[in-house]
Amino acid sequence: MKTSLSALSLVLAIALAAAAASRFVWLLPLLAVALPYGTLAIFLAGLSWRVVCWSRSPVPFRIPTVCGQQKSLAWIKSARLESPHSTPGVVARMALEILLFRSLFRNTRSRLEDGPRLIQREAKWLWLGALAFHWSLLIILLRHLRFFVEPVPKVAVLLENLDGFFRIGAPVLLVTDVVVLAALLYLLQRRFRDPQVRFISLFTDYFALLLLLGIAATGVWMRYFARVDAVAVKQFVLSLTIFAPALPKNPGPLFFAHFALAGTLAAYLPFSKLMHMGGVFLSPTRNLANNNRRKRHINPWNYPVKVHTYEEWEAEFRDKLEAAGLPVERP
Amino acid sequence: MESKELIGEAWFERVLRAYPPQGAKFLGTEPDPFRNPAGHTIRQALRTLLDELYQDMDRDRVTQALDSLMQIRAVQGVAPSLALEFLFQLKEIVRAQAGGADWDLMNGRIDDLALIAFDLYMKYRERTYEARANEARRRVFLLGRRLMADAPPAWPERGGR
Amino acid sequence: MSQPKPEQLVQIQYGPQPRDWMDPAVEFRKGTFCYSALAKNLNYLGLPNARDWQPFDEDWKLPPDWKRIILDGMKERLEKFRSFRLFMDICVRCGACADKCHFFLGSGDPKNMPVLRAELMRSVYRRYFTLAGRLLGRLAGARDLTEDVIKEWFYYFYQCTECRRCSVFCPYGIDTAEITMIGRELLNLIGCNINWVLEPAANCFRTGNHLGVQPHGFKDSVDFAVDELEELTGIRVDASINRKGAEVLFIVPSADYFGTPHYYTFLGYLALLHEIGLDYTFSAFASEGGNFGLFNSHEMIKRLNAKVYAEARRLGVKWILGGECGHMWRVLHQYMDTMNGPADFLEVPVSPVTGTRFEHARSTKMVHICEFTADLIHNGKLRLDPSRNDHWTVTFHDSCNPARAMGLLEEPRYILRSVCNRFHEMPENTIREQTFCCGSGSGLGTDENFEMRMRGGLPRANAVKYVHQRHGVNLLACICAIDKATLPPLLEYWVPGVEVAGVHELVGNALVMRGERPRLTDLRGEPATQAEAVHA
Repeated sequence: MKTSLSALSLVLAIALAAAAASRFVWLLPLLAVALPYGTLAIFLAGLSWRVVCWSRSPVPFRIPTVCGQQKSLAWIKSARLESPHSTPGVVARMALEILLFRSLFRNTRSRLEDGPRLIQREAKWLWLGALAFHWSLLIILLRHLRFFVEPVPKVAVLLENLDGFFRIGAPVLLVTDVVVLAALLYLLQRRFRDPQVRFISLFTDYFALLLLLGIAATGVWMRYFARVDAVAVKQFVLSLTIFAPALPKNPGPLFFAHFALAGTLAAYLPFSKLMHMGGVFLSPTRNLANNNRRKRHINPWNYPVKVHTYEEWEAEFRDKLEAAGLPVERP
Repeated sequence: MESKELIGEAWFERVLRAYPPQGAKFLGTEPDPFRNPAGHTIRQALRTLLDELYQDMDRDRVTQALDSLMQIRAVQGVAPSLALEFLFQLKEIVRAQAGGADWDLMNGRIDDLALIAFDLYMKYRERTYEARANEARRRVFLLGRRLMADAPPAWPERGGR
Repeated sequence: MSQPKPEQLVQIQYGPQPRDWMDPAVEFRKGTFCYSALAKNLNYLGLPNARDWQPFDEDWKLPPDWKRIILDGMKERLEKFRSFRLFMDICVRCGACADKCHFFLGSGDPKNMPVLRAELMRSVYRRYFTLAGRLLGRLAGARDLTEDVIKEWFYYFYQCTECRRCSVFCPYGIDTAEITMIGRELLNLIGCNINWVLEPAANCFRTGNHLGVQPHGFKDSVDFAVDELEELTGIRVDASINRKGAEVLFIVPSADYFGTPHYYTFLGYLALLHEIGLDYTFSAFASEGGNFGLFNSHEMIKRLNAKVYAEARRLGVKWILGGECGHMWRVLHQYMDTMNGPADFLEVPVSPVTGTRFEHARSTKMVHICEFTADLIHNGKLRLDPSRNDHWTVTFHDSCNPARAMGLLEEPRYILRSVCNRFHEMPENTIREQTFCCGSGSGLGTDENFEMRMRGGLPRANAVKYVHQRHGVNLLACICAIDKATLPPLLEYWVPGVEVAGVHELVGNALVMRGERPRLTDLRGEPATQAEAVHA
């Protein structure tokens, strides 16, 4: 409870501080210039440092977690996706893992039990919640391209049209806005409700969720309720992208809360568990083929070790070998 | 009927409290018998025991339910008193719910359960010792077998009585 | 959180309940841990800090600079294993793994949730190797490395059987076995190891096998089995040892020629390989396929495994055949070639009976006997009478390593369906890649750890019980030496009436050998079934 509260206060503090600071003109350069460039620099440097760290550590052994039949005898059908024996199989396995969260999905059995009653698997909800969140986030990020690029890229327009498919309200309600909030709230409540997950949750787990929730909430608030001047925001953002920052014409405290939270996320990401985003690509139990006996894997630091040689062994047990009539090298 | 169910819930909760709190929550919520064997067994057993307690105390059914419970408890590294405590906890719960005459009957029945449970607990403790001894024997199976092979094939006649 | 009720306070708890998991608290209760390794074994293997101690001692007699040793060891391994570094960094604590561990299911101890077992290590990693952890400490999920943390590591890293079931369900493939292996390596640096791992390792290093059977003892065992097989079948098979120029070197786990029910599998091998006339030899030097180095350190894996290729080279064989064993096959499949290869002095394995080229083993040159036998059966090279196994109603336990490291799922099933008439699978989420561990793998199958093993094995036993009650299953077939040693007591406790056997024991029963005399008994010496009596 204490950790989740401190995470909540931290997120609120960042948002409020940014909103309050936007009232003071002399603080604007800090908020509108130093913050985005600073956090972006930290994000890029941190990200590359992290990836370099990971890639500097070699993969000494080929240790896939095999989840299906190996490719062995010709007449036994091998599981190409769950136990890939070649690169295309590995790519497909990784794609399933990254795009559809294959492993999380694995846990989907529901069962008629005692009663009888149908049990809903929590794990299935976790898969759904995680998938809904990540896909919405991706679409929302792509939609944000319209603030960064002029003319607005086709993909952003297309996504926005699809997203607003239901044509409800004005401005049009975007599905992903609803989904991302719902998914985040689901993920957050399960950290409180599920006793196991609550037990293992750390400050960072709450902080990441609340931060994302803060960003989504301020964004939604701006779009649907506060009706922030999108043109002014775009002009400001565009000026940032060409490294000629022009201070925004009063887009309001809400925008700066959103902006500061997003900056915080960018700066925080490389130092947190959110790096799973990049790490999943490198996971040696998933991104290697199960062709261990077919193709030798090289360990770059393979070093000679002290072994017990046959000669030493024969010398120690010579009497016994001879007494038992077993052949020896040096009679 | 309703009070019986209340008792059942209260009892299950009490039994789970002998586990570490986090584990107890888990045992209490996961319904799949293959993924949660201990919790499933406990719930099933308690339900049967409670039914019998309120009906005819069928000895076979009671023994069967206690059997599966004691099998789990006997390898949970707790003192025998703690392993059997849940039956005495039931007394408290029932007393709070049941009236005078009813209570005397229940009290006696729960004592019966405790005696059966004690026998079963001992049965399973003994079974662990047997299983351990057998395991040790199996490990050096061939050694024994070879020794036996070297022994004289049959006992010679010694005569006399 | 709510105040405890009075009746909660009088409850006797399972030891002290820590405030949260970051406060290390371990109680070494009888029946739930393994004894420490004897100094003689450490000395023989040249491992550090050999001494007399036990986990329940207050003072573990750690070396004075133990903390530096551990932290240096961590640093070294973070730089050597991407798996380790990555798995320290990317866990999001989603909890998907929590209820996948048999020890958690059987014991309810939250630190047996794979995520928390790994957090025991991660918390130390954060404290000493990440900026956030160094600055923010506990808030960042970091904690100091203390002797109590070491004790906790010991308790929980020796309460993980490295079965990798959790890794199947993790969205990032985080493999607790990897973390446990590194954890044990680190503990090993300061001399905190268990005898059930170190003694077999020392024995294996010295004599060639875990049991410390010396060459003449090995020969006696094999000869004895040859004699017994002759009594059972009327056929005298030839089982040579250390014979140069054989086509195939056959390596089995040592329990196969010493323990039961392994021994009946050994008889099955002998019968099968004789019947097809394979030109093979055993080795008294490489008289162990198992490798307890896997439960100790990567270096020890390599040290113990070296003899396999060395002996194949010395004897001049063409390829290597491996018997039924679990972790042995994890090493052979995933580590051997990398560590001690390339085996360029061997040939790509070809079955001399069917002509099948085992392309999938073209580099390592070692074939699993189930692959070999399945190929024989598929090509119609064996005369089989499955009714000879009619006294058994069989189910198959996928051993963790052949399943989750190799994907050896169909071969043993194909064999079983060919050699017995009654075969039933256990429920879906307890077999194949989701198989539950026997609860005693990775060197935890000790007598003193018996109660913990019974708890860890409960999920497996529960699934067996289901098919026992539903289909009358009375035999659990498996292909792992540890399974064969530890499933019998597990089932004796939880599901009496179900026996354990190797797949090749059933092959040996069903195999109709040329010139054999009517089988009056199965390989166990039990009277043959009704059908068999008619057949005879």
